[in-house]
Amino acid sequence: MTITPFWGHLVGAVTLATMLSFVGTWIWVWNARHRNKYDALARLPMHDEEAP
Amino acid sequence: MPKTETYDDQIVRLFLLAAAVWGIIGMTIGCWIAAELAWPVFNLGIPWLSFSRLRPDHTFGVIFAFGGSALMGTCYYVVQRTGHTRLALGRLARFTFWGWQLACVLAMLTMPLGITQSKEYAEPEWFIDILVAIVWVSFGTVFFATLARRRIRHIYVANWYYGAFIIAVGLLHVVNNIALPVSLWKSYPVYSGVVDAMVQWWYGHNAVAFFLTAGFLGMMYYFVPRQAQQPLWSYRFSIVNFWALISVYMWAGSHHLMYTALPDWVQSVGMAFSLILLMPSWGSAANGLLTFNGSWHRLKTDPAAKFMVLALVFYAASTFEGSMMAIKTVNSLSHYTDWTVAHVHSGSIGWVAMITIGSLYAMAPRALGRPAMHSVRAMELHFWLHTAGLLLYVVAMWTAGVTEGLMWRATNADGSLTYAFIDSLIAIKPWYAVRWLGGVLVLSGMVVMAWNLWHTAAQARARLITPIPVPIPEPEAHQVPAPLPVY
Repeated sequence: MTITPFWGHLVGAVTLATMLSFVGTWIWVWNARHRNKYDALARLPMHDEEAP
Repeated sequence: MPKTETYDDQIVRLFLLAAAVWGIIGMTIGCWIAAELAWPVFNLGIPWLSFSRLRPDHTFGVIFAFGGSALMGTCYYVVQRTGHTRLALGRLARFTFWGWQLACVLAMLTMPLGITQSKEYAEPEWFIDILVAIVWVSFGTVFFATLARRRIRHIYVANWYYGAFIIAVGLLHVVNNIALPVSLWKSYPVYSGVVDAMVQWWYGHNAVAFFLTAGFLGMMYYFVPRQAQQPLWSYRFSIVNFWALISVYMWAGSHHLMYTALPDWVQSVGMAFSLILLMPSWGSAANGLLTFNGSWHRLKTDPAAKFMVLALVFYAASTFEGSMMAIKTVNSLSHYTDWTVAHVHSGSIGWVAMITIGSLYAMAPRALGRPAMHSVRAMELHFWLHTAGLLLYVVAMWTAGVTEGLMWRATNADGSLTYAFIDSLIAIKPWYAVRWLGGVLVLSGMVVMAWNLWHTAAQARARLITPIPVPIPEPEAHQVPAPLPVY
């Protein structure tokens, strides 16, 4: 495949968008407002043993 | 007075039984064809029993019949427990069980008879493919309908993996099996040439990705914290790994077609994505292993936990190996050799089978109304049989593979090949016997597990167990979603 300027720019834009979404995912999940919810969820599988 | 809502564990028990039976069938066929490779006399001069005809029965038997039954059973168990709700659409769930078993039986009966599409891991002919598609859509309907009636607002991460597994496998199965039937027993794919190869390995690799990885990670993210009795090490990290894994895996399939007619840049894309894939793979492995922090003492007394820890170690090891094998220069040595066989079995016997067995041991007593498995000593025996068999298998095939790779590429000063093909076959023959022995040990462990499950299920068989009530919290003001009516 020949890389023309169009394809070169497209590949660059997609790479940038992918990187931004990856970094954005990290920022989103480490947002302090999720802390309590995630702490509770991390313990959810342990409830099975405590079930009546 | 309203009836108490209970978990639907009867369907879980059916899949548990099916997994135990199919595991033994699939691995018995594996041992038989391993014996044929070491000692060809085991062909018995019968074409139906030759390696090429039985091999799809082994792969289909262990991946789709054993693995598929375990995945569907644990999925139904986990989605109920993490949503505090009963499984939706009970009758449709029963249909998914019987439909899946029918598809597996039909596939395994027709393939040795030569009724096959000759597409690796997608051998069954068109009428079985349609049945599989119908069952799969039903499975997805039951799963998502259960999620829709959950009482816990956030969807636990194990369900994200199960959901990705269901959606992606459905997509892969349908696209790869688009074919024109010319009779009841024969169809031809709509793709041809290198496009057919690329579609096939887009499917083949993503069957590894979404069937053998995402589905079993769903299992891991629920049963590892439960068995360790520790919160998941990092829930945040599990979310990052989920999105990274499902974004990257789809693009790695072309590493199965290195040095073929596939355009070179497509091969390079596959190589690059395979290397990136190492990060989310190790991320999940680390998350699982670190969940055992503070609980390592459990490994002394709990064989199920041992299975899970070794599964995670082999998950990390085989994904590292896979990424390395996708590098073109490494691939030029490993491709078409038994190194590939070693890699796939370190992933399947090491990661997939061990996380499945650990999860089944964790789930079975609860689903069968018992405080624990019938025999912890039998679990311990199973662990050591499985581990010894796994190590014998992969060491034998690694050695055989590198031997083959080096002998095939060796050249004399004048450029001619140093060895004939038969020389490499003679050199690796002892390792084929070791591989067979490893397989027999793994199979023996499965028989021990089936015996243990049978005795654990004694009260369930006598219908003496009572269903487990769903823990329904007191309604809170403005709870979203509102608690569902108990039926």
